[in-house]
Amino acid sequence: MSKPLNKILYVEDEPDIQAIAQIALEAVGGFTLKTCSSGDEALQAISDFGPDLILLDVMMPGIDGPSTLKEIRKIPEFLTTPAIFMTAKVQPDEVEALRAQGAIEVLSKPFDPMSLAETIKASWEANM
Amino acid sequence: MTCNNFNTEIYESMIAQIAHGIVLLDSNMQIQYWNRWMEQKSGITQKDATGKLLKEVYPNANLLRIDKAITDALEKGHSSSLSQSFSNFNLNLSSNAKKTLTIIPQIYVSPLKGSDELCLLQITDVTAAVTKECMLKSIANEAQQGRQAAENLSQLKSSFVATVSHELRTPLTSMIGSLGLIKGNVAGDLNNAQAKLIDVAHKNSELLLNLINSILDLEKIESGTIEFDFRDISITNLLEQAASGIAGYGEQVNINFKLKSPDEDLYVYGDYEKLMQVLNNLLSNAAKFSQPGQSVTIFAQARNHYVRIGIEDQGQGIPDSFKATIYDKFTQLDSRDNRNTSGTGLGLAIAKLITDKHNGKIDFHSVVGKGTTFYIDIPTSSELDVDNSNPQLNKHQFAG
Repeated sequence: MSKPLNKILYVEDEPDIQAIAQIALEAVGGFTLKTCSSGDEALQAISDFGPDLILLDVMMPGIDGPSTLKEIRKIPEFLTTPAIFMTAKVQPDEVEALRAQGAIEVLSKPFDPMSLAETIKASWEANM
Repeated sequence: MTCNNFNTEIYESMIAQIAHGIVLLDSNMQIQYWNRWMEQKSGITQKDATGKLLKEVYPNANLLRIDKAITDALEKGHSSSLSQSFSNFNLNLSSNAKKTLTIIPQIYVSPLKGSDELCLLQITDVTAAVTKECMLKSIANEAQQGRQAAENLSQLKSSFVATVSHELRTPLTSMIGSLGLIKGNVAGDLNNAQAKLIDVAHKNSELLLNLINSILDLEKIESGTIEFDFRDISITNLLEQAASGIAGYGEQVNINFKLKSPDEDLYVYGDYEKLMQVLNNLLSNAAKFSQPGQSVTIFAQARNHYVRIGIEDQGQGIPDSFKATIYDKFTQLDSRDNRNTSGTGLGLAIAKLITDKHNGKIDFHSVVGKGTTFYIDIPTSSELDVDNSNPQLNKHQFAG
């Protein structure tokens, strides 16, 4: 294992879900979180923040999760940064399609806030 | 056959009696012969018709096409067939205002061979055939429209269900998330009453999520938008996974799940995940309607051309009054204690849909106070149906 997971860039348009995930990942998981409310905001913030992992909502107004990830991959620094999608669509074929976009994991909403950090950490370690 | 023995009178009588209209025109297009059928249908006698042009007999008819056909027959020797149903050719055979008989004629126009420039018109009444054809067409149209409307409605329903489900999951994500964090003491320690109330709210928001997921499942199976991944699957694997999946829940509610594996491994032709969903439903139902300390047995038996998978409990049993509606959506029996009211009432409806898609069967034996055995019969091959060992059409190939 090269390094422990610390900084997560989190992109989610719903403020309520943002608040919950923030507590779940910061207070419960102990991660450092940068929360963005849109794909555009994430693209502006990513270089300064320098995340270890990117956590993206799929359906967002403006540019959606998969398109945001595509733009992020154009920045050489983040070409291989592990990414995880969160989605309310959980049909197997939809999950496969999201994995094909280069995500290491696809998490379904609603998520269990008490185990979210553990789940993300497990995916991170499995990917190392 | 030669008819030389017949005299002219017989020929005339024969033509007169023919059940079609026979009209003979000379080279000036004047009527020379008008049989009895024409007299009856038009109300004009042969005597009145003779020597007249068609347009004199039918002053109001549009005779453009028939005149052209007659000219073709007289001048070029061509025959033609004029059909009402394929043109707006119009000939009301009743020129008499008092007789309002309207027929749809088919007219065959031909030169009469062996004579000097005569033209024969044979008129057939095709009213019945054309009417029938029109009726069939309109029935087909209506059926097509009905199918289209049903298809539109079903698509509308599918997209409505999918949208609503997604829209409902979003606020539910916030609710379950918040309640989960509070319940996990992340926002501070809770006293007993708070913990109990939060627990109720959390449990019920999860029930709501189960309901939404089940409705979505049901809709997808019913509408055929979900694909079944049929293959030969091992019953031993299926049962072992089902038993180990439910074991944790069994410990929680003090129900002992026992697995009676078959002596030899059995195979059925099915969708592993979907059958697992059915077994999970049946197993959690069995636990729900059992008393703590009782056991639930999972077994499998090879039958002639199918495998029976059964879930046997020692629980409260199913009263007769509930048996008829047990597979209906949103029906559920109250469990004896109040421990479990967390069903969606959709589990058995989904289980039945899934076994149906396998050409299989779901059924149960139950004695109130003694227990219930639910079982599903799943064919061993795609060609088979549990009620009939003969190979037959494989339904799920058409299930979309």
